[in-house]
Amino acid sequence: MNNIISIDGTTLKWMFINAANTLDNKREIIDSLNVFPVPDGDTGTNMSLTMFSAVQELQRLKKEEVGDVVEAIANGLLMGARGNSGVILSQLFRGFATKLKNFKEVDTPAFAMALAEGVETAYKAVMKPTEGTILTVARETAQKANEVCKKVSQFDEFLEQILKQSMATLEKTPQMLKVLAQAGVVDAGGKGFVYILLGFLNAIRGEEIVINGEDALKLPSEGMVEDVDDHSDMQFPYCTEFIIKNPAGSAQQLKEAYQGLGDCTLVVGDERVIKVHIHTNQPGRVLEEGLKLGELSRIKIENMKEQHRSTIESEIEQKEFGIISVVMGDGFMDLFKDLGVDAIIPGGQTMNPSTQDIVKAVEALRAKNIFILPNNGNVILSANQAGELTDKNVFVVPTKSMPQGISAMLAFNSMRSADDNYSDMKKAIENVKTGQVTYAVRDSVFDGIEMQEGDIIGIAEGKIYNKGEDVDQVALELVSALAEDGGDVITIFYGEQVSKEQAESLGDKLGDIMPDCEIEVHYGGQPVYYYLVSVE
Amino acid sequence: MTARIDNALGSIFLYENVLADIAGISTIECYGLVGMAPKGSADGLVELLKREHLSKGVKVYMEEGKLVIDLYIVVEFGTKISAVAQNIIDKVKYSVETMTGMEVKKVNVNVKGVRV
Repeated sequence: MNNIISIDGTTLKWMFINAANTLDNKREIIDSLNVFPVPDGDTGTNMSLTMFSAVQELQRLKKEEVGDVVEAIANGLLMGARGNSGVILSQLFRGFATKLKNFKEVDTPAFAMALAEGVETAYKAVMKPTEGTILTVARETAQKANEVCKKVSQFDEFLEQILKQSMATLEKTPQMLKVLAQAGVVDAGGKGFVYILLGFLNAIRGEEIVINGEDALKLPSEGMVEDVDDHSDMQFPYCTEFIIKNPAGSAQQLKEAYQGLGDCTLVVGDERVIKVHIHTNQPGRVLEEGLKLGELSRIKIENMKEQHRSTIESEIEQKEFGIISVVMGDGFMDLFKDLGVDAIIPGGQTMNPSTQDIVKAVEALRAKNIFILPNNGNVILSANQAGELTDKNVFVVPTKSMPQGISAMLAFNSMRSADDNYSDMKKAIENVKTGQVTYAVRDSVFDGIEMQEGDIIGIAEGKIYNKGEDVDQVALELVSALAEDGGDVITIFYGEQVSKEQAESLGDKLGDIMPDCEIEVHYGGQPVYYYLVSVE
Repeated sequence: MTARIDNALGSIFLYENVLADIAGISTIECYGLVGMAPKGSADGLVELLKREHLSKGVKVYMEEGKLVIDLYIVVEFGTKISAVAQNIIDKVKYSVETMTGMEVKKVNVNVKGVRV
């Protein structure tokens, strides 16, 4: 214990700067609690920026009388106020400053009086004060300060006691404000206020103890609400809530029993009723511990992972059909989407998706029957495996290329049964011949054709058909060969290395050679292949 | 003005007074604001509107299919008015959009008075 019973302007300044630093250290925690009035996660940042505007003002001070310091704080906060809690802070300290400006030295009764004035000023500036916010925390803290200052003249003890009160009030905020309880958090602004008081206390203690930031923060930890974070990591996915009526024990007891069972723990109540909210992995144990104290009511257990997923999908009923396609190239992605594919797994030649990737996509799709278009010979196997790994009704249409996938999609008819569609789609791809135009990546001999690195090669139905130096020449020869045994529609998908004009001129040339065929040119955007061609 | 939301099964009509009430109630929950002022009083005579007349300080209309909300307010002396107004804009836009499902294009805050 040190024996500070009054503080001067310099100490006050230091207290305030310490408070701003404490708040800034905890900025992200406060941000994550922010659900009211607008859940935009900026309360901590706003409060911290508001505080620092006052700190700047303080650093400009030449005289450090109490009056100068409080005025600088009030002005700085006013000018820098951001967000609701920032404006509230500025009002709290405006009232605080009006009371203290004529003091030379501040003792605990004066400090308590100033706090009360701050609260009064803060409440004046709102038409409909919302309880369960920083306003409530500040008000109850000021009331406590008023009691404590009559008995305690030492600042460290005084601040410690009112800090405890502020934490206790903070814990109650979810009971006062429904949105907080729903989100399982305490009020963000209120938490900020607690950190400011903590900063004050550390400053007073810091004269005796060398400042050791993190340690000092932990000193008055009993009763402190644990930092509640958002649900993104979901270590404890089961949100468990219930009420115990006429409990045979205290909330504190129960809270101790829940140590280590989960996070976001909130156990609050009185003799009549205890409310429990916890995120846990063991909802059963949580309920059992509660049962020891009495009858449970309004039990609610929710899997937040599911909730999280279903927020996106909740409106989509389980569909009859879902189609997953493995696609490479932005043009193809658009084409498949336009044709009604529900999910796309990026991948193809040189980057085959794993079985796991496919299983994930299947699991994520809310549909009774799922068709998978692997669109690559090497992916068919993984798709088949994926189909076995899930309990959904999966059909793998063995498409070996993206043009085949497109034909399969065109054959799909949502009005028909799954089995009919499966056979239709398989039939459709049998009638499609595909060709690819690409380049040799190294010197080699393949299918009896000798190639040098960089040669342009044409592949028909998986076999190398021709080679050359000019992309369009190779493509022309290849398409002519594919269409030899008849074919009505020739579709050319040009890749990322080919310009639109070049592709269209190839289409025109083909039209001249084969006037009976319908020729379509689309942007596929695929890498590696200059052209993908389908002939039906 | 009546806002209209259509879907395959029918239409939802939201009357102006409903939208104005939602906006008004959201506004008075904001910190730093001490009252709404009637939008008509151009002569500087600003009376604080009672709760039930809140919507007199609110004007709602459509622009390009989106809502525009004009608010007429009185703030407390000694608050940073720009910050208070910014908070109101955020809150009203959020509340109206989440409650009605309509997009709010603009919220215009007119400060008609300062209470000392």
